[in-house]
Amino acid sequence: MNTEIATNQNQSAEKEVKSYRKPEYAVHSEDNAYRLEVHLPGVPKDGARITLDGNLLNIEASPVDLVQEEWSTFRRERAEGDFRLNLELNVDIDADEIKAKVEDGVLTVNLPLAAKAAKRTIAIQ
Amino acid sequence: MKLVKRNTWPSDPFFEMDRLFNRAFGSSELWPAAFKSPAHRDFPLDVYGDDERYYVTAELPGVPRDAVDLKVENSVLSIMVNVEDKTESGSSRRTMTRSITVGDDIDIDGVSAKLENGILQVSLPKAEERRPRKIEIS
Repeated sequence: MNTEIATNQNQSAEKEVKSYRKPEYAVHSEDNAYRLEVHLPGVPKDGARITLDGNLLNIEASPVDLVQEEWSTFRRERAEGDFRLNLELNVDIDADEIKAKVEDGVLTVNLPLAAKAAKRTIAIQ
Repeated sequence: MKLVKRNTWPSDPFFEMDRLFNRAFGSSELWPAAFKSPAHRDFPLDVYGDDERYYVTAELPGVPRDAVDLKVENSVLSIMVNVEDKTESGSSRRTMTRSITVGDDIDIDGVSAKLENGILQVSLPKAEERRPRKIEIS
């Protein structure tokens, strides 16, 4: 009897673990910067959290839920849950100059290269 | 007694194929980008309903309002998306279409739609005479 209760408690604890979905993204290379585009449908303008820890860029975002509880479901294709994307940057980024915006459910992050990683033209003497 | 007109939503002919394909070969996330974009045909779609309306919700991130065409014809709702992606190397066109059968109980004049934060929500009111009615017992 006791063990039964214990397993039930464990199960309910497991259910509380938040599930994330990985958004689609694309990285574009520009002069001295990378532009990262992440598809975050349903995420409002201020709904994304971006952190840079060392060379690990972390993006989390919560979409607005339009579905009301009393609605019945006829078809369900869209995944649910918050978005989370972890990217390891293999170049030095100027962390103070990172700019990001969310528009029409697309997050655009501008990642400028740090001075030492930026492209330089070398004058021939 | 409960009369249910339908409990599954008749889908577009490719939906079941896509589903089986994804189940057999894994999600399209594993496929090379060339298979998906730029001409990826599909976008995910949800259908909900209450007593008065059906709600169709589609994920269209980065799609401007004027790139979406909505049409209700012969009980079929079609969502057509035509976006032009401008990149450094020129522009490319993406066309995506989804069609679903919405039944003949829709008040076509009352259909409305909004596009917000990359989510399209179409609201399809049920025709007055087809809504469920609560019968009072006298």
